[in-house]
Amino acid sequence: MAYTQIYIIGSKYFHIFNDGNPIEVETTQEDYDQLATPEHIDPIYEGARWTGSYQRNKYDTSDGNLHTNEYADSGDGKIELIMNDGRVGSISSSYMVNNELTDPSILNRTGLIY
Amino acid sequence: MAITLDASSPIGAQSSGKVTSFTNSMTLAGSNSMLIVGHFNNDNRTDVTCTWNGTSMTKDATSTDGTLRANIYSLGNPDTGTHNAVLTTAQGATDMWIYAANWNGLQDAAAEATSGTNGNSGTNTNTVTTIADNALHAAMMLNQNGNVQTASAGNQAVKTDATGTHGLYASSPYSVTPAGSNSLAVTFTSSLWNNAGASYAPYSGPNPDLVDVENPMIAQLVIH
Repeated sequence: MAYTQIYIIGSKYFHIFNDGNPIEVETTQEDYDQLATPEHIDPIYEGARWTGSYQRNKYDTSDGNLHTNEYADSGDGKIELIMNDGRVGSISSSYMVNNELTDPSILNRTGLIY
Repeated sequence: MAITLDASSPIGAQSSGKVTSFTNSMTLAGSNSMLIVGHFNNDNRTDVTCTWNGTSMTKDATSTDGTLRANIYSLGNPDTGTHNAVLTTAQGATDMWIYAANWNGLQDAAAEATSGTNGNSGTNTNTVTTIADNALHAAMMLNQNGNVQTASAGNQAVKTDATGTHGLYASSPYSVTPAGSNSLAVTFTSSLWNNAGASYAPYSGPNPDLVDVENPMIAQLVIH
């Protein structure tokens, strides 16, 4: 299966809430960064509890996200791509040759490694 | 002053996907406190920093099994109340975990002993040589296959993931006595494993239960 290489172009910021199910809401860098300060104002989402926030890579795709059959070079000898359980994984770039995975079973990797 | 776990504090959380920063809220209470954060990440990131309410925490120990990197951080007398712990890495890590807890009754001082080790077996052991009598020994402990870990005698899980495959552990009881070599161990079905641990001296300043700082005469009477 052919992959398309995409590129990391910045960061995206998200708050995570939970009302019985996780809810992710994109936010701004300014709002994210203020969480680390003593003057922090914690995020609010009606009917849900804030559980945390995170910053991740932004890609040069239409929605800034990484999708199935796309990969991005992390610049450290690894590539990022979607694993078979739907999560973003990180594997050695040696697995990708001519936009093809040399061993697709790597996407089934289990344990704590992604 | 006995070492006690600040019951309001322990948290455990995992980021989703590859992140460059991960923020979580904690509520700390008590006095003579030491905030201890256990962390591990995929991608063996060595540059992960941790702040509490904007104050940098000290990375006391680290280790890797080649892919998973474990760190332990500490901060003496952290700001109490509800604030945020922030983990940051420049290149991003595919999943970042945080396990954190606050203990009361510890000295505001650097870790007295530290250790980060790794191996490939069914027992993950973190060993330090404590210096002060009644020190606390804490460690981030994990195994690569994500097998369920069982704490051995002298060790207790403080905060783990839902299935107990990794987390923050501490000496049981918290106070290690006498001082000397002390090990925290967990057992599991054989796997690559690693840990990062440290020991922290007990509070050795004036006992706030005895000294009335607003009435020195009473304090002297009690002390003498």
